[in-house]
Amino acid sequence: MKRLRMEGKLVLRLALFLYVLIGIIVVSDYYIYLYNITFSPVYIYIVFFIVFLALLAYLFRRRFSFFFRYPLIRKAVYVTVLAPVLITPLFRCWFRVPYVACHVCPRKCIFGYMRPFIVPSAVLLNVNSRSWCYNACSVGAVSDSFTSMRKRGYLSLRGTRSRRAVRIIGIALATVIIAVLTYIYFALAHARANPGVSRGDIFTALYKGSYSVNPVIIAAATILLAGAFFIPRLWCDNLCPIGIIARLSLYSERLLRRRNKDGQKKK
Amino acid sequence: MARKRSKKSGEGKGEPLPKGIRAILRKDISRREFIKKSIVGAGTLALGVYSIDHYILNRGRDLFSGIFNRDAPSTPPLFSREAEFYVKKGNMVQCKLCPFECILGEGDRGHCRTRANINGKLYTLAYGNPCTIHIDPIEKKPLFHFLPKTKAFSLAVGGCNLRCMYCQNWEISQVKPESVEEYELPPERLAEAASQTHQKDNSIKTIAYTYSEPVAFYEYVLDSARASSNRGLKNVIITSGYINKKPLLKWAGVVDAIKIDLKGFNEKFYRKINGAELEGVLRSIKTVAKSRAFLEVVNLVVPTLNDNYDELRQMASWLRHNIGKDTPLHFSRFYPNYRLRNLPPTPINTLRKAREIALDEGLHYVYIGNVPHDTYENTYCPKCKALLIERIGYFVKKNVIKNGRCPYCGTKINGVWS
Repeated sequence: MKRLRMEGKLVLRLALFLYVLIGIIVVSDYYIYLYNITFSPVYIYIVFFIVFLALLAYLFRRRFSFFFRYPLIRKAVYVTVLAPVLITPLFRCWFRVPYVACHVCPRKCIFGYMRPFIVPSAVLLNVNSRSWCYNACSVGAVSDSFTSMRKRGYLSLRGTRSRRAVRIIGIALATVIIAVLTYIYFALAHARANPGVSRGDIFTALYKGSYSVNPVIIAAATILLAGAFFIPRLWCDNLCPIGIIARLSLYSERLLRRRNKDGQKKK
Repeated sequence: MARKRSKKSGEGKGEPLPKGIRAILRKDISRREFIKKSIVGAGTLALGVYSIDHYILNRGRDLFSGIFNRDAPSTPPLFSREAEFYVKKGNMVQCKLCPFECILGEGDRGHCRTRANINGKLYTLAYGNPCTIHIDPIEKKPLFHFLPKTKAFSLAVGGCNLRCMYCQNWEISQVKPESVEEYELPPERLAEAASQTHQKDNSIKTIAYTYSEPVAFYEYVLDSARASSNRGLKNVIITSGYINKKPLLKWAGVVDAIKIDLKGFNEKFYRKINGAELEGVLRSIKTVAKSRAFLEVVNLVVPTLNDNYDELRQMASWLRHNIGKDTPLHFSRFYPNYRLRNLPPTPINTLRKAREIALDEGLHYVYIGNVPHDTYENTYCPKCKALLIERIGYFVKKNVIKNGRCPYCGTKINGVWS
């Protein structure tokens, strides 16, 4: 909370502004212009450049010391550049649930087009203390923006008895989400490759047949992101697949950490 | 460390250790950090290779449908012309012909397989290159109230904007125009050929754009209809009706009849089985009903999928209230085909029941199709119930309609009779 208040309010407000702006553009008939801009080679190469720069900066920290010099400017750049990629599917998608069916999408948006690049990059960047989630993700920044608006302390389980139980439930939920998403990924690919009349055809269930706005998804996404007003990173830590993978890997890393003879954890 | 020392002193043999391992040995980096960096490094390398291959060398190979991206010919085919109904958006174009409204980058081919962005312009690739030409009875279309007992010079170009799983002509509709054998027949030459055929056989009075989907060869239909109407021939379109309003109105201005396949009255069925949306087709039916072109509607009844009697009643009711009781409606029998071979043919009783329901809802002319020798292929006067046109299959045995009226009670029979 303190960190958010001190360093990033302006950047977080910028993320919220971009969320609203992109939402309005994508919902309106002007989405074609955003579509056109995001599919221009210049934009795509900029995305490549900044993502690879972040990866290389992590790998060669000394040589890329300039990368870490101005964290606020860096975050602002990442949030702004990646906003169209990450936010667009929330407002307009060919499927009832955005983000999950890009590999079978008949006409991809910029997220669908870049998903094979963005998702692995995010997972790799998260290896280093969730750098993607806290420094680059526009959706995460929107979520943080709501958190930063709260003047009093947020809801926390720290020090309570139920903390452990909630953590276990959270990890179980995360595992279930990952399992379901994995199933959906392959089921969609199978359904797309073998169109047939069968009950429970997941492609047909999810496919809308038009590149249209889904008010239910917009409302649900906004509510979940705004939920960060009460519980920080409500969406990111509990429902976002990238966040969940990062959380699970951090948790498993903690479990694997070996202990010394005197019971202290080894580095 | 021993190895490092030996290297320094120049006594060691072989390659020096990798830098990362030397860093660990120097304790600059923890083992955990080293493993993490190794994972990220390997991942970055793999991602780099993938990105270069996928996004740079084969830029957007799977963009859009995966089949049609970068699939346009480098130059427009022989008779191809610039398409109508599209807008330019920077280096992209957006087709406005059908509700899909494909957004195509340079070198991309649309969902219908027949429209492509070549050098920043949208071209129709289905123009002057029909893949099939036949002389059919007009009843085969089916058009029962349009010049009965005449024949139609019928043609199609490969391609379709729908993905019907039971398509009977999938060999030509679910392919690119250039993937099938083509005739070279630009509109003027087509009109000339049809006109010559008409002179040889006077019963050929119509050119029918049918078999595949005329929306996919929209401009060809438009120009051919103009050219042939100058020669006294009539033009009919057999379509699924999945087309935007403006282009449809333009069509309706030049052709004489349009038969629309209302494939079901269920949005889910349309999306799942046909790859389209019901709303767009209903809009087209209303548009044609208000235009000068004569309209007939066909519904193919597919067992277990769109044979629900309540839905059929809703459909009949909708037609009754939106296009009137005099528009002919055909219930056609389904036969297993293409990707829907797991279902049996439609039971004839289902078709008869559907007909009863439509008549109950007040429609005057309801037929059963694809069931030869069925009495429900005949036309009866809605008022005195007299038999006006007797049909056996596609052949008209008797037609007593005179001047578009029932000879017994004088009731006007909706249709184009001469």
